[in-house]
Amino acid sequence: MADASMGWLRGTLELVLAAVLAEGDRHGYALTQRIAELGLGAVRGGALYPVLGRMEAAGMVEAEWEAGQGGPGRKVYRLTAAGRERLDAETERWHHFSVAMDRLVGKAAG
Amino acid sequence: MNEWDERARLELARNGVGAEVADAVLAEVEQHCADSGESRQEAFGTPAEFAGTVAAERVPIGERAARDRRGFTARQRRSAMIGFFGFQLLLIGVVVWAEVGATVPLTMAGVVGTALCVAAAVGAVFAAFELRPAGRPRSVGKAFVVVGAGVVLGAMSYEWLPRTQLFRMPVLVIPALGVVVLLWAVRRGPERTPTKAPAGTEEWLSRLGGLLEGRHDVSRARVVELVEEARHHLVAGGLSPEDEFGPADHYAAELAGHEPARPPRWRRLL
Repeated sequence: MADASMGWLRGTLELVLAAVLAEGDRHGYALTQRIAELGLGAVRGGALYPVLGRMEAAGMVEAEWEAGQGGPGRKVYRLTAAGRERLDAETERWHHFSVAMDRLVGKAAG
Repeated sequence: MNEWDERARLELARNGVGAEVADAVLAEVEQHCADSGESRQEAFGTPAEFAGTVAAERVPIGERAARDRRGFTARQRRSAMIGFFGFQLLLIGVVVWAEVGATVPLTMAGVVGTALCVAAAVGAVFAAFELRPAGRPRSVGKAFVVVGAGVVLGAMSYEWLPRTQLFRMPVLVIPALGVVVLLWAVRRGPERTPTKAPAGTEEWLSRLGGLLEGRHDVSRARVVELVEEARHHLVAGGLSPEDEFGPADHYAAELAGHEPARPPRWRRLL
């Protein structure tokens, strides 16, 4: 069900991006590569940057431009302290949610 | 209906949500608040936030992308402009009738000068209200130079062309033309969706920048940043903009949803 998992990724993209940025600073394209590497699926730029923009406006991430070498400059994102706090809180909620979800789908499967 | 509902209805309309859907979602709001005891603001946020969420869920991206920051589509803007000119003609007809009488003498100077001034007025309104939301904010300045040239040429025509009478025109022609133009504004059919997709990456990026700044009132500095970021993404992955971001107008609408509005100074003064 590739479509359904893409829907899950879209719904949790903010949490996913915060968690990936907690591993280290990255620019947009590197974020999509890391997300794919983790087996979470492919994120298109059209879905990625509006969410990064929203996170930046909310103070969860900050960004810095790095000059490109012979190409366009790139914007590198970093998780802020507020973003890390939010990530911790969301991670906690995610655990509750996934346990509840497992219970539900486990019951349905059983 | 309380104030929150009224403002929400207005915001829903501005976001392109039709009356039927607006009725349905506001009924859901009422039901939810009656059941939960929460206020509308507590349960659904501000009317603008609520309308934005509803639009994102219920209005196709193509329809949202066609609206400028104030909620107008190209068709609505053009109808308003045509209607404005129709009304002006009606008004001018009445004034000329009152001042000059039932017929008016036409001269070469008057005909050419008036035609040039009307063309300049149409051009000015077009430059101010159409070029920007069409995604061509950089063309506005150039258009106003052409408008200025039209005004100067009109003034020169009044001054230098022959003023001998060609014939007398019944004044009724002016308001009649106004009525025709007004009817045109009201009865215009749906417009064809314009333009093919931009051919290459640079054209796509340029269109994205024009739409962000012109249609969605994102500040120029922020537009440069967003376009540069998209460019880097495309270069890094060797990707096609249409495949990666979708149509430029759709992506511009998605990005602009999270960006504060910075309309140009002249429009803030209006």
